[in-house]
Amino acid sequence: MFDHVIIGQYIPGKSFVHALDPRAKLGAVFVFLIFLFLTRDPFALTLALLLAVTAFLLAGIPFRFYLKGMRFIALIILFTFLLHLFMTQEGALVFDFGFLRVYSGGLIEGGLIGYRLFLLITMASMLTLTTTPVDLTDGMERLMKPMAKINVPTHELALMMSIALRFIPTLLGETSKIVKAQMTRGANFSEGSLWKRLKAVIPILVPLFIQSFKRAEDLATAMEARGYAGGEGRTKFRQLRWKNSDTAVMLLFVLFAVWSVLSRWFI
Amino acid sequence: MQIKTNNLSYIYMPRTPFERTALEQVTLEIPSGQFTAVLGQTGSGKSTLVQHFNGLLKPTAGSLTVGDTPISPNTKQRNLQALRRRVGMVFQFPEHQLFDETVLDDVMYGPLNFGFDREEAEQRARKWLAETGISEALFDRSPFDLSGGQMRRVAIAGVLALEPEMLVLDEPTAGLDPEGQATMMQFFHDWYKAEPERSVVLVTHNIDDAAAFADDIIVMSGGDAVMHETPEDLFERSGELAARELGQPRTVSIIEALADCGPFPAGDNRPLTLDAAADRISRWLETNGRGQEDV
Repeated sequence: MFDHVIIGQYIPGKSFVHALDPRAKLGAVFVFLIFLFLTRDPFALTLALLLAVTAFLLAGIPFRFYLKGMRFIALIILFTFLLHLFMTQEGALVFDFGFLRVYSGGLIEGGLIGYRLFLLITMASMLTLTTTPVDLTDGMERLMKPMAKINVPTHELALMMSIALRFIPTLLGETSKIVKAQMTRGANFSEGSLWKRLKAVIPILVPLFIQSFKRAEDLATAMEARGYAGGEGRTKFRQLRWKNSDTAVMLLFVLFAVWSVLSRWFI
Repeated sequence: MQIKTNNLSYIYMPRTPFERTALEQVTLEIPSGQFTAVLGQTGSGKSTLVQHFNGLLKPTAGSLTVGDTPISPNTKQRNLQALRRRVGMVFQFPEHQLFDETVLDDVMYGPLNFGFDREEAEQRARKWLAETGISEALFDRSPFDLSGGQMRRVAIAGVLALEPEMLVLDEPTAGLDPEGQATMMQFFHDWYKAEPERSVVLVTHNIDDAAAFADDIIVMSGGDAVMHETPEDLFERSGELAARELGQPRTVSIIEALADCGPFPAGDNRPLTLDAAADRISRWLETNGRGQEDV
């Protein structure tokens, strides 16, 4: 049932992208995200596509697997596209269905937002598919470190994140087990009115919440029993190592950022 | 209900990097009205196998027939609903499936889903809660206020209230204390004995339970049913069992250990229930003299 959720999943591998420092990957995706939504320059947008395709090819993720994971995302992208298409009223009138009017501005805006979303999700998936959750949160904690000076609880934030990521597969497994148990008792999720289908979810959600609270309590007890007392003075067994390839990748994305800014305001 | 599988294969997450074959061309037949135990190591495919029996999983390849319902890779969910009423399934830690506001409502959930009216659903719920030993005082309480053992019995009542012909039990006694385990296994055995057409499929690690209760034992290993015998015949082949890290029931091992110390009188030296083993031991004590120092 949840066989094809690729968000938050990690595929073991030894590719160039796998080997990059999580800080470099996080930084690159972050820069990519901001400037992708800033630029409207065709050249910069093409450059973004090139970056995403290259990352995908280097990561060595099976294409079919990626495609399956994108099916659900495609729906969201389509929805956003349609929303922009019908809500934007700029430019020349292209179609007129009487109650619905499509303007050229809507076509451009919709296409642009769909294109950006698609690239963004692809790039973000490349990050999570090639980085273990532990590396990801380590990297995040390290990047947030300067904020600790202004009393941002960076260690706690990173810990919350890693716990959340850690329990995604557990929760999915739990959900599928409860779904099966209720199906055994005749639950039917695919028939009946919308209201009926919504109500059919309650017997799934209640046990799921109860289990999650129990698990959270158990985890807290286990952590305290092993002497966990926050990030103060805690050292790391796994050290992050910044390599030349990380600098190179980061530079590439900074170049993209610079071009986006230049093309938007200065050229 | 009779079950026949024909080259049944199941693959988890097919065509992804996480692809894993759980069952590989399993062909077996479980006759109607039997208590069948499915033994095997963790990951041998036993849970995956039994989840096909009420159509929760559909085969990736091959097919099976449960009663008169055929299940193949293309069977529609809609056509499996009727089967689910006839094959009840109790999962490991069934208390995790409780959700409703009161104990009674939770047990009525199944019957209501299968189209019984409220009156009949309530009547069934009351009957099966009583059978599982839940006192009437608890019927209007929240299931989450009960003790662990009571919660499990309510959950089991919720499955039995469908009045299935076959019960599939996946490690139903996991996490109970020894006494609770014995009571629960006895309860399922009594349920099975009450009507001649009732069948039970018990998935378990516990070879003692399999030996004591099952008419037939299926041994799963590496996604295939490698042995399918009566307990008597199966435990003759202790070498093969040991190779699959399954060992002997304790009732058999203790007799073997005693046989090393002194001869047994003629008779069956592979008792499968505790009573039979106790009987053999008392016979052995008679032959070898009571109170012998070196025993």
